[in-house]
Amino acid sequence: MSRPSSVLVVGAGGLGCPALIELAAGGIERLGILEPDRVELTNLHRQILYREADVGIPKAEVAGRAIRARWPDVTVETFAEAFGPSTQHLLARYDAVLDGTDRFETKLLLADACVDLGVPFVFGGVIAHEAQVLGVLPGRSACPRCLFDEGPPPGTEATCAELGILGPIAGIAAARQVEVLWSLFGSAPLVDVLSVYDGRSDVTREVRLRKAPDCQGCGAARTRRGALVPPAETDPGAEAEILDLTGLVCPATFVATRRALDPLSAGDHLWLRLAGDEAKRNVPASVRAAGHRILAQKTDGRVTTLLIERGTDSKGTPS
Amino acid sequence: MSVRIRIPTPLRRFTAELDVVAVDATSIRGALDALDAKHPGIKARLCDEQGALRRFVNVYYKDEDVRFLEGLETSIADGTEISIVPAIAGG
Repeated sequence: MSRPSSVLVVGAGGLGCPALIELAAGGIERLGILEPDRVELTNLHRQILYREADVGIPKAEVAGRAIRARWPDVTVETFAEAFGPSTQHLLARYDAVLDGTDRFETKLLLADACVDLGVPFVFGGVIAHEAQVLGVLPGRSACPRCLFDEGPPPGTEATCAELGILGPIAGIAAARQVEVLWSLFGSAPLVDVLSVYDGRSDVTREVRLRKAPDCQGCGAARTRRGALVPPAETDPGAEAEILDLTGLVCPATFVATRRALDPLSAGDHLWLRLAGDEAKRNVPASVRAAGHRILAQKTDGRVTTLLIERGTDSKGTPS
Repeated sequence: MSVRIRIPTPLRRFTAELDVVAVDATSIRGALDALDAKHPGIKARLCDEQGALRRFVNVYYKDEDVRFLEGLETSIADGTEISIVPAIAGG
């Protein structure tokens, strides 16, 4: 069986910690850890890479240190950031992605991005003593949205805060995620099956999935949510015209962006280059608020490159 | 006609922690109504105000998603099993 050489683990919590250990022990050469939070005391019973002395330190940093200490040959890349528009380009740098996030909406967005970028992905969820795992091969198998179009709205479902997560159940779920991940690179990939584990009865049920033709994640309705542009298409290339705003600061960056977008027609694309954290944060937010779409966002050192699609809304007022 | 309904962990607070509830019904809709009669409040977690299944819950009958059968009107046979599969968010 062939194996991936690199895996990005998104979320280094109850699922991510044991998964990182299994992946490093299993021979992954390069591991990425994307996690914005800091270690809290209440994490320690299930997030098994952390100790009491780590409380307050970014989880990505602690997890990276722990993996490097035990497996010095593994290259570990840490990103103390949340998954979102500014970090989704990271997915394409890895052979596979393992979901260790703790919000359903984030899980769906992560699945969407993996489908769009063609990166094999393993979804995981755990609450109390129940866990779900699903392997996804983009273009070939059902994705989480084929089953759940959206996450439960706040207040409609029992939350992890109410029911908790039993540490060993998260460990079992993570082990299953890694097993499914290995299979995605073999001749008998574990896809189109949602594995549902009930730790109270120690029973795993396999729920068969079908790729839904009108799925918003991977099917015909994908355009409704706005598909990502794969990385090859997000490279401006030598021919593309890029509006270089690296010499400007706020609010001149907003004004120049608006002036460049105003004369364009809906659906037209604009490449933009910005420098500095403030512009990286604020310009995409104001572009979205004005009704346009960010198709790609890449940061290299201090410079951020954006690909913007002009929206139909012409209010275009920078926020 | 008696069928068994499998209750997932997040909904067991409505069923006094029971993981399986037996009801008498001839369709999925009838089974969910009977479940709600035994354990009031649970149907509102599964169906919206119009009575349609919520988008973050799926119901399986004999290992098949009822959306690919006749939906809530799917007929059910004596001694069979229905599973409720909700979206689980934690990590």
